[in-house]
Amino acid sequence: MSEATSTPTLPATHGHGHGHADDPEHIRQMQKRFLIVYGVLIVGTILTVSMYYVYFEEMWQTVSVAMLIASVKGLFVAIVFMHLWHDHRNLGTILLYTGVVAVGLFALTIGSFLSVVGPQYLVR
Amino acid sequence: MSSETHELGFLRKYVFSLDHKVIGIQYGITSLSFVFVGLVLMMLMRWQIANPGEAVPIVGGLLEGVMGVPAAEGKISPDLYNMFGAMHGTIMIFLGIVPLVFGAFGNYLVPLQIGAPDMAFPKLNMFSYHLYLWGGLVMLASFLAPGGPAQAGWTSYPPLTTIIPTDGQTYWIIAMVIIITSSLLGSINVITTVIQLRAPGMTWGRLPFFVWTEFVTAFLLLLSFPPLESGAILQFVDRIFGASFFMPHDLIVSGTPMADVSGGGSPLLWQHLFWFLGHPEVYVLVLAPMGIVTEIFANNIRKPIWGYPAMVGSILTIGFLSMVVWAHHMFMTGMGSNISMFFQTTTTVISIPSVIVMTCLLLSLWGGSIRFTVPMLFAITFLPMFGIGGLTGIPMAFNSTDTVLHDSYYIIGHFHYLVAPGTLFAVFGGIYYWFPKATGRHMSVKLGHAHFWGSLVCMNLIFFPMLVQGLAGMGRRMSDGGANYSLANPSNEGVVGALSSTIMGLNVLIAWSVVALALFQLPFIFNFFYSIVAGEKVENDNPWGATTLEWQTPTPPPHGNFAEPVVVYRKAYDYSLHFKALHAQEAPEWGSVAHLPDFEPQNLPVSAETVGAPE
Amino acid sequence: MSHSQHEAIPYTTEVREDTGLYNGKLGMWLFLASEVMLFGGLFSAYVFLRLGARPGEWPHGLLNIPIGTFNTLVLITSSLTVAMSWTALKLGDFQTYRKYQLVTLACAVGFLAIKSFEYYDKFTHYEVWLKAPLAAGEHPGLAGHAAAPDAEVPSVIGHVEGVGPFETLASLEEAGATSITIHPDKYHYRLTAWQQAERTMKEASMEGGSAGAEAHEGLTIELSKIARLSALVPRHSTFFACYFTLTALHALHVAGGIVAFAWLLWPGARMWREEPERYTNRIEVTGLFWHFVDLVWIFLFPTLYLL
Ligand code: HEM
Ligand SMILES: [Cu+2]
Repeated sequence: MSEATSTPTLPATHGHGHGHADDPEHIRQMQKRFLIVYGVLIVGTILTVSMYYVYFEEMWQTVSVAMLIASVKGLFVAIVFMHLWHDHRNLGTILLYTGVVAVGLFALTIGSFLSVVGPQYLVR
Repeated sequence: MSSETHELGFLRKYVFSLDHKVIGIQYGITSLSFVFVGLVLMMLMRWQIANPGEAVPIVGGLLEGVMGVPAAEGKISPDLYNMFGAMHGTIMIFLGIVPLVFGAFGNYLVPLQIGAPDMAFPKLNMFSYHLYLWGGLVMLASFLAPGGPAQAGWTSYPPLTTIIPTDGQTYWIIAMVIIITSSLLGSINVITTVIQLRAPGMTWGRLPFFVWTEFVTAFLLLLSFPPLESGAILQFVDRIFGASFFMPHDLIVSGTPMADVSGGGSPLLWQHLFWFLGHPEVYVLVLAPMGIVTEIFANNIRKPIWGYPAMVGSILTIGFLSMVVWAHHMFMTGMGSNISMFFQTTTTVISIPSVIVMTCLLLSLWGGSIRFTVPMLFAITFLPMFGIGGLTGIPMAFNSTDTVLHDSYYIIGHFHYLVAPGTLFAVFGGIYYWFPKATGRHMSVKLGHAHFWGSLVCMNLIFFPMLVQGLAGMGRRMSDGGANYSLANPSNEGVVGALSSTIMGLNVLIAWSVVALALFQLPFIFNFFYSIVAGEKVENDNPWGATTLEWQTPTPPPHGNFAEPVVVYRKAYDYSLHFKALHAQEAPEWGSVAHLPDFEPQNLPVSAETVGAPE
Repeated sequence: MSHSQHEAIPYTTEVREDTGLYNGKLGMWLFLASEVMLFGGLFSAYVFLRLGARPGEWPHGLLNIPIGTFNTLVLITSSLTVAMSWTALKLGDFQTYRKYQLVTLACAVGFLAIKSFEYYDKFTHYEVWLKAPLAAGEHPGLAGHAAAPDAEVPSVIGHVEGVGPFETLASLEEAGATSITIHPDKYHYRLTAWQQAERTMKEASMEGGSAGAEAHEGLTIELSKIARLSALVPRHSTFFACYFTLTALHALHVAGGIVAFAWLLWPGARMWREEPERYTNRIEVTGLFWHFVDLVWIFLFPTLYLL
């Protein structure tokens, strides 16, 4: 998830966990990246909405496509806007763990439910 | 002895303090008070069970005055019994034990043990305490709500909770949301503190085990409480806005279909959200006590804890596994065999790391020169008591056997063995152990012995019979203590499985043991307050001769904790250096090591003489 | 560098070398982890109820997609301006930061304003369940309420004449009404989205698409014939219960963000002069929160509006 920040840095000069993060060149680059992601998000939103008007044979297909687009958008927000990419591996570990637990909550709850009743209705 | 640099007013110093030690003590006193409230509720319930249908002696009139109709004629009606049962569980778990082991011990000790000046976010810390206090007060206020407090158990299962017309349940939800928020802020604080504020040299491998347990506890709270919070929000919307998150279609209550309810919800959804917290919560109740016991052990056996890495690995495993076992509380609701198998497997697997921790502690005793101080008595008792509690959990881990045991007194026995002579004993031990650091005075040993032996006997007289009653088929949550299903009820004559008079008689034994248990808490309460003012003064800052950093501070530790910056040079439990050195010698010769110290604190540089000894 | 009160506590501003973090950032990410679980619980609840819904009973197509889309864009824009404002501070440019954050605040307030407009629309939009179903052929406005021309219509959805928000059957009776006049929506959600789309296309191909456009008179129903009446509020159905709970909780987060940003922009800005680095960190940390709020919406929007 991140490049290790093994390069030692002077305590007084840096504001967050990246050695070069503060030099103006790097920050301008970051701004450019933010703008690109903004574009991606807008396109993603338009895509999501247009999916509503596309007919899929099965509901699960619609759901998958919608969630896929949302996940890609979400990843861009997390990685670039929230600059996880530049952050320390520790954060990545904690978040990955959180993700696993959240997926566990979701999958096991839904799994035990489906194991008894089965989906009755999955058409919109 | 305090070296406060500037004088703060009373409010800033004791009520809105930012000092983690004061906040820890605030947590401690508040949560012990809640434990006391829970204890009183329990005594009333046990009295009622032993004497169904009779007015409560002495306090009956008071009860009726406060609670009104449900306590008519000074009797505990079934409704009132339900209220007391729900509030006993809620208060003990969420307002008593968790804030005690996490808020009080965690706050007081974690920064000290890692060599930090305070928690990472002192203001947040103060805020979490006040949220907890106010959440608790809302919970207490619900006793005065018209119709009384919540009455659907500490688990608050809908649709029962939704259709109860009185407001108590709404108070419960609001109080829970406040308390959960407080715990979340607290856990953020603890995790950040442990990750960021460890003193130089305090590597992960050198952390005292107690810090590890608090760290894992904090993660449990951080990740498992929010789903319950979401459940509480949904239940709130159900109750206040008439939604149907947990209300199934076509629900009929007392013969009348529910009006103006959309239905379409699921009571099982609540159970999932609740137990997703509920199970990790039981480890919240027990991990930090394991840490306390470990600290007391190391200090009183005068040798390093055996298997520290295995213990740390075990609690990390527990931390993860406890997130994926929750549906073992729901076997009776029915689930597919694959999912059920998954939960049965994880539940059985999770007992392994607990056993590893217990085994390491047990093996640590080997070859130690045990000092049977009062804290050590409590700590060493933790092992067999926790053992009974843990082992009685195994039969319930299997769907088929749990079908019989579920909702019986057996499970009450199971978890009370874990929380009462388990967690509470560890907490008592912890109080006796750290009291000299916090106050500069010792607690009385004689009174401590009275407290210990009395409590030990009574606790077992209370909880062991419950296991027996459960196996005989007695169900939990019955206000008459099972009388209706006993042979005393003429209509049960000749019914196979009706509760015998012996089993029913245990109710009386339990009730009297409860009274005795309460009496044996008096020496503790007296000891606690008396020793603050008149206990024997400590001879130095480290009266127990302990290695961990909290003992290397002035007594009591001042604001900012350490007199000078701390650097850590060694692992947490460097006891019996002479033996260590002796073992390292090829031809062991006592004379050459006898002068080496019994222990060396973590912040003492490793000397040339001891450096050769294996860590 | 002067530290006012936190002198004693290390790493409030500067990064701890071995962890690569300062306290505030770690704290915020931990908070967000708990938020992931909070919304994870709610999201699981949503899917749980959705899968358990009886055929034809899960409302869909009742939310305003254009407005929802617009609001999504508003929120994404605010996320961008927050990110840009932080970089502006990193470059030492307080004025630019200020401009960006004013846009952020405008977007955030706009989001809430649009949301309340949407809410109000739902509060006055009713569904009426009848004791005995109507025949679809009985009223021209009910054609879109039945899957087949001769099917029965157990409930009618639409706007009710002269009735404000939040009414129930009991409250109408109490107010002395004996009947209501409802203007049925074009379609009822018991028709699948595909059925609705098919019909719309068919109509469009028929002579200039006039068929659906003609105005119907309201349908008058006596209260005595109504089994249940509810606006599109939490009590209407588990879908609207989910919709309102999730979006309201999200809106609370937006409101929290507004308070934090406004505080930092005005009274809290003093810190910029004394401890610029710490101030920049605060913006970074609040920004993390804001992006998370944006991220939640990215999932909520398709889930609630489109699926
Ligand atoms: C060591 C392994 C453990 C196993 C295998 C185990 C197993 C179980 C099972 C299967 C149940 C559900 C019984 C039922 O409802 O039918 C249960 C209930 C319970 N356990 Fe454990 N448990 C273990 C450890 C613990 C610990 C450490 C605690 C903490 C103090 C604890 C506290 C509880 C509580 C409070 C309940 C009852 C909840 C209620 O229904 O009110 N357990 N246990
Ligand atoms: Cu459990």
